[in-house]
Amino acid sequence: MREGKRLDEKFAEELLDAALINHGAEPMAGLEERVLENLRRQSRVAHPVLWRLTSAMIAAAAVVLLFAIDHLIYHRIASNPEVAEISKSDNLRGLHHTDQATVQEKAGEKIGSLKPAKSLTAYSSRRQYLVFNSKSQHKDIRQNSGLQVDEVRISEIKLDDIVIGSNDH
Amino acid sequence: MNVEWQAILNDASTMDEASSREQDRELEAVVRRHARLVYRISYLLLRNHHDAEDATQETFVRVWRHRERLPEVLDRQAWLARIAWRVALDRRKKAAEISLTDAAEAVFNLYAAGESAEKIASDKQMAVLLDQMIATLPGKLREPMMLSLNQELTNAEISKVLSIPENSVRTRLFRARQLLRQKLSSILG
Repeated sequence: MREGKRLDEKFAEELLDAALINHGAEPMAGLEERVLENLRRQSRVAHPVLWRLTSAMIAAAAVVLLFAIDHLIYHRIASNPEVAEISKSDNLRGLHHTDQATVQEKAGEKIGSLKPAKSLTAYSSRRQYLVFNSKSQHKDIRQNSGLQVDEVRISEIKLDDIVIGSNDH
Repeated sequence: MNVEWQAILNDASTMDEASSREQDRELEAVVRRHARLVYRISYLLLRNHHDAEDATQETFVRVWRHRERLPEVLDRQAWLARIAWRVALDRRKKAAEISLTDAAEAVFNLYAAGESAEKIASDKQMAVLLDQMIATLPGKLREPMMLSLNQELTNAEISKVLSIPENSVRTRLFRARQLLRQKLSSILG
């Protein structure tokens, strides 16, 4: 044991120097490789040009695909004689029916004769059904006066609702 | 497309790729040369191998994001040390309550047993005590002191990291050492 158990200034200085020199730490082996690997990963994940190009290509492909499907289905429907029949009968809905009850009654009769469930299946979806009907009504609009437009739309909506209802039954 | 335009675009694309490859090579050289320095600076502040390695990774990710600036940097060591210092400062958790008693007692026992200064300095308890003593220094003295523990950094580089004049670094280091010596004497005395 040291005499007086006291550090003199010289020993304190010596101890401090030695402690300060020893104070650092060395990393585990392979630090550089781990850092580089991490940077490569970052580079792959966040390569901006590649990422933007890929996103743009995917978006473009999706749009083209949607248009192609829509176009094909429309042509298939238009060339189908059953659908043409429905279209003809749908033209009747372009008449002047301001009375809602009359419209519904007439629409009900039409639905009854055309077997609405079957006519719906002729279309690939409810959306196709509506799209096609609206197209056939454009012809009506051209043939008749412009004032009929709103009425046609109203009758079509009602008819559609009735069709769904009759399917449920 | 016009053949001349195609040639110009191809040239531009080739130049971009070449530039990108050059940047990658330069970055790799920087990592290989300075990763240990960055780690040591991080460790001085964080005092934990795992945290120091995470801080090292983060430092180089920041460098990677600004890699186009690398050719403009004249003193890369000081530049990297500055980034590492800031990353480690951000990551450092609030210092725990400092109790010098246990470490001081252990070091005092070694001294009392007649151990040499080198032997005591290499003891884990002395490292803990030194950490605690440095942590109690005023901020202005603590920061240059911690950076000076990294033997690779010169006073000029420390001054760049801390954005203070080189003379101030010298003065503060001298004052910090004085305070540490006094603390050590009073703890062990």
